[in-house]
Amino acid sequence: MSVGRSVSLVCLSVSLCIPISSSSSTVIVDGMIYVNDSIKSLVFEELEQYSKQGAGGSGGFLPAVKQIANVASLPGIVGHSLGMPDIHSGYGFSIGNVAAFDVDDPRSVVSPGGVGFDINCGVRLLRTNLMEKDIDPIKEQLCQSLFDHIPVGVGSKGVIPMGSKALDAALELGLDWSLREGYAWVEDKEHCEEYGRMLNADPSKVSERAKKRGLPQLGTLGAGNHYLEVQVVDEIYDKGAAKKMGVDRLGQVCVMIHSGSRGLGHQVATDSLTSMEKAMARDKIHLNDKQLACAHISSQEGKDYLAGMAAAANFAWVNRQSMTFLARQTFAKAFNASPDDLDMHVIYDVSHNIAKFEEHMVDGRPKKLLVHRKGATRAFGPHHPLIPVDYQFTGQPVLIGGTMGTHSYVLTGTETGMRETFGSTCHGAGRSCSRNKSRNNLSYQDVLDSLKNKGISIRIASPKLIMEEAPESYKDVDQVIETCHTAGISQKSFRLRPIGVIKG
Amino acid sequence: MSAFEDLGVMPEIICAVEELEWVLPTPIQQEAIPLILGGGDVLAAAETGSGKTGAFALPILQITYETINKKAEISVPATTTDNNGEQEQESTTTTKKIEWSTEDRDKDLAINGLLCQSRAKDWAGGRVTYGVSKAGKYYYEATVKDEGLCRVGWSLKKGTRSIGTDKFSWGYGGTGKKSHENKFENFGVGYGLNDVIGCLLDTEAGTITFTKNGEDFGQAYQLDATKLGQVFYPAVLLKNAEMGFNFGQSSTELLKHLPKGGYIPMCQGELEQDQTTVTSTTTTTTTTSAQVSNNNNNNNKKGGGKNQQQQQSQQPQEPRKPLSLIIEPVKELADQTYSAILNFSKYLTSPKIEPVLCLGSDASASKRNIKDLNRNGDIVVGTPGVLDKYIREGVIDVSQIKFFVLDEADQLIRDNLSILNYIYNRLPKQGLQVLFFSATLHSNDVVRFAEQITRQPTWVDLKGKDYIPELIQHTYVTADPEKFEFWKDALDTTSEKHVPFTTDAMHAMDVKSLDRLKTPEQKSLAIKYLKPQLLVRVIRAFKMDQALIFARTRVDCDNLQKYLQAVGGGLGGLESEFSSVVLHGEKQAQVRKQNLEKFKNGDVKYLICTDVASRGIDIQGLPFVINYTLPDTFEDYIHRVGRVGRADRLGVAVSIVGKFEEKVWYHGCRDRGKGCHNTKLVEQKGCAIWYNEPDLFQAISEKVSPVQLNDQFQLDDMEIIRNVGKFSNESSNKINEYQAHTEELKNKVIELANLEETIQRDYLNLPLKFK
Repeated sequence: MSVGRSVSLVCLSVSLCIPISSSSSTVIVDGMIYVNDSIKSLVFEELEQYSKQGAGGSGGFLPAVKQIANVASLPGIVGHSLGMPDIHSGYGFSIGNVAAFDVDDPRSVVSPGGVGFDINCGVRLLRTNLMEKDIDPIKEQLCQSLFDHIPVGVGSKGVIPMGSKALDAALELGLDWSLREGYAWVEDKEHCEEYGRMLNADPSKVSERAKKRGLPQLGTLGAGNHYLEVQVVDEIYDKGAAKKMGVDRLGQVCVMIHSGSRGLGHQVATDSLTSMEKAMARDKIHLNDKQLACAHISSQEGKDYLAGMAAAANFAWVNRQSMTFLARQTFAKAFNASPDDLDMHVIYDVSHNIAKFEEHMVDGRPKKLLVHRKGATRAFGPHHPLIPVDYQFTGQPVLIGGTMGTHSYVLTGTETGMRETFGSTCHGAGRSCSRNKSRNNLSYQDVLDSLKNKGISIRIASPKLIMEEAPESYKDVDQVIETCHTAGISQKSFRLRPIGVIKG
Repeated sequence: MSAFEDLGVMPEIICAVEELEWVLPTPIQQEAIPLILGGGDVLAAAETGSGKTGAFALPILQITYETINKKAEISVPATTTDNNGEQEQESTTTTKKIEWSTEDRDKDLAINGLLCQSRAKDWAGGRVTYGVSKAGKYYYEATVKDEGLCRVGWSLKKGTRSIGTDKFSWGYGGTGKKSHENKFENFGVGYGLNDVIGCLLDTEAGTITFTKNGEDFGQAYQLDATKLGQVFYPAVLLKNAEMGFNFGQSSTELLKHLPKGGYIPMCQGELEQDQTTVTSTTTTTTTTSAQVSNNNNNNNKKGGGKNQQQQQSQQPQEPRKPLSLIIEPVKELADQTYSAILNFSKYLTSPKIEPVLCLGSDASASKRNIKDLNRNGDIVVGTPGVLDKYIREGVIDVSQIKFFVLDEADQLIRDNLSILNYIYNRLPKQGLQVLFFSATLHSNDVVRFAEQITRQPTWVDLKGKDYIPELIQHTYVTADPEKFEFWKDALDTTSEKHVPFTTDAMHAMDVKSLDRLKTPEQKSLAIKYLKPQLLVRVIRAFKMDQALIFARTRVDCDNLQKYLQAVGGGLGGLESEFSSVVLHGEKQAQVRKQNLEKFKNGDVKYLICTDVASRGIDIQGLPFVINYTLPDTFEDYIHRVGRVGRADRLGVAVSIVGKFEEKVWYHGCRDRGKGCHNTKLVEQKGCAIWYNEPDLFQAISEKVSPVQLNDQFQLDDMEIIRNVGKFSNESSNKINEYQAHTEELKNKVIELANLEETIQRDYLNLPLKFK
């Protein structure tokens, strides 16, 4: 890989190829974004606007294309700096960026910006044996009851009792803690990425301040794009794979939980950004963008971050598990049947903000890589040894949460993805305009009406959030999925349609 | 660029905070900003120094700006039957839409489209925007959504809003009575939660009838001819209740019990308003209704100011009105917040956001402020007293307030609850967003008040229920006059150690001699003499160079300062062993500021203050807090000791606890104690109480287990003291904590990682082999 070449954006079967030059002169690899026509124009529109405005003083993030290019210049990066179709700009790394670093290269780095603030933000899907018609008569009550049971905010209203000792245990043990405390079923663990526990987690690498923030937040949904949705199966594309996941009928009810590590993860990221800034000066790492703060993987700061991040990831699993527990209780009450009888099993639990050590082929040879996925989901193909035995023949289930009121999808990982994207695919719709912009451009009533027309019940703690989270503020999830499917980096399995939304 | 963008903050504000070198939001900012921008009510527990001001000032500024520019403007509903403010106006001009009038209502009646609610103690009533007069049979329905006292019916415009109490209105109440001209007669049966009341008006036959859940109770009133031909409006009167209405205009929610016999839904009638107001809904209507409210509505005597406001609220061309109201308990905090907002709004131009600071006492400043207010103040920051005054006088127009912020809410509630209530009741309820920031959210008073004035608030509690600052060593010494006899030095002018001490004169009359400590009064007085001496000994034993000393009253503060002066040998700065300043509410703002600065800069060693004065005061690395008198609640104790042990530094709190009850002042009198010598107890209409420190201490002791100082007034383990004020070494206080198995598992984890690596390599390599 030569230094100083321009970044070209390559697009696969979706048929677009867009070369652009980067302001940086230190690019190591190519950048590549998976797009279709409409996503392409969105991505370039953003860049164009930025260029018109003139750099600096804008007070917003850099455009996604520039961020992809900046990441392509980080030391130790291999393959491509990849952009998924749902890409949009974020802190340092754009959201929807996959970047892998060669662990054997001493210059390689780990960057908190490449993971995101909400460490191990992810999606979990529960199935039930209920049908839409079973829910219909009590839909409003059920939504209210979910809203009442699952705290959306921060604070002492959380229902999972927790002391600081228990928190340390949860940070270390992840889902094993939930299992021990009775919030999880044994089967839940099997259907989580990493089995719900990062083994290298070290609670002592999580600052007291971070723990303090995490303590009252366990089992809370949080604001922003997080939600809990009651969904029904709308269309099945791959009967075999869907069946393996226990989904075989249209109209079957599922529950999707989208949440992360809350304030704890945020604090871990913030703390490490501060400490890495110092380390960078020491190790003479120079960057195009200050927000890309990073440290060598083998440095103390790098190791500390990975251990702290792993602990935060464990917290996120415990958090999603706690809400799973609460959702199961709520359904059990509503239908007067045990969660077991309602077949409320976890289909899968994916993480879309995380960095992990994985083996991948680079230039025809297996290599140990540190893969950063920020707003991108791991999508391992069939027969991969790290996916559960139930899904060995289908490939890893990939859960894609739609935006409020739009479809969600379940995909499966593919061989192509393994070859091209380090086994990764998109994570959702991806914003198309900033939160601030959507606040000002959309009408509250319109958004609400359109939800109502679609027959979706909604409970939301922050009413104005509805504009920031409206489908209009996001890319079209159907197009994002279609792009991934066409490119072959993941395969559609089935589609879900929301009927009830709980939001912070 | 910063992560503030992630929270939805607008670029102009991000630029401004970047200049302050705020790159990453603090925890409270990260949690609260999205919630506030999200439009919900927020209850947040946060202390000064945590970035709290930014947490509410940034989003408020942004929404204020958006509102002025008519962006992101929505009403904040919990239900789906709401209306966008702008749309509403448009629709009234194009199609006539019946809904509850925002003008023609009592202040306590909260309306939201077709929903009415009153949470006040008094009756509150209102009328809808359009009525009917043409011959016909009209019908509408009211449903009780939340049980309380309700009355619904028909009313003419000239009637009061207290339906059924005059000649111009006819009502049916939940107690099963019909009423007209203030005569209440049995009618039908009572009604309550979820009952649907039908109101029937037949202007041909001149009858008014009511039904309950479709059950017809027959004619209630026969109208006399003079009334016919006038415009009849649906009307409601509520007391702590909520009702939803259906005039038949919704296509989805049908009328439940539309009676037979030619009745049509109200909305299908020819809708009209009283002649005088047909052309526009502005001045005339409001004046009429406001006059009505003045004349007849006894719970609404202060209608005059409102009058004006209502008129103005109709005219968008008028100068802008304040959109946000921020109440701070003390001047210093108000000042800080005001400057912060000025900083944040630096890049918000077209139009520029104008914050206004309202402080009492300082006359010239006030004048300037009033001028500011008249000139487009957008965000008003002030202390309760002066805000109360300005709002009463109508200097501040609160008719457009969208944000109501209570900073240090626990203190505001404790000291100024009535003012808060008064101000809150003046605010328009529709679209109002209430933000609570408090050191604690767990005192009952705070929770109760919060429940009253917020709607489904989101809790942002970064501390948890029994949060106690962790880096504080709690200690105490018992002021036992039988054990420590040196208090007698204060009386013995011959003693070498004699330093005069003036007590609060509580026992000037009832204690003649202190030779023996028998009566409670004698013991109380002895404690009063003992405490200052103990204080001096503690300060010396700990070699405190800097400490915050809390006393109960202003008099105590002043007396103590005099005593410390005497002990230290006169006034002066650091050369005096006991240089000190006093901070309490009686001092002028300027003096308070100076004193605080002196202490902060290290010009004096000790700051003596009352609870009130200490709020929100942030002094970096303060090592010691002394409770000269214990506070009367545990929350306050936490608040006091929270002055130390901040920002990850170690601190020590010493409490000097009376062995017996002490009789102290508790002025309920007019001048708050000035010239008051009434030592009778409060129960006997006096101004004194017995202050039970031993009991108060018991409660504190259970929660934080303080360590008793030894006879040298030191801790047995003085090691801690050496580290006071320094950054805590996190590993040093790790005993008894959870021991992770990280070390133990290290080898296993490595082994597992290797296994995973091998199996993944096989997975990657095997296909190559078989190719």
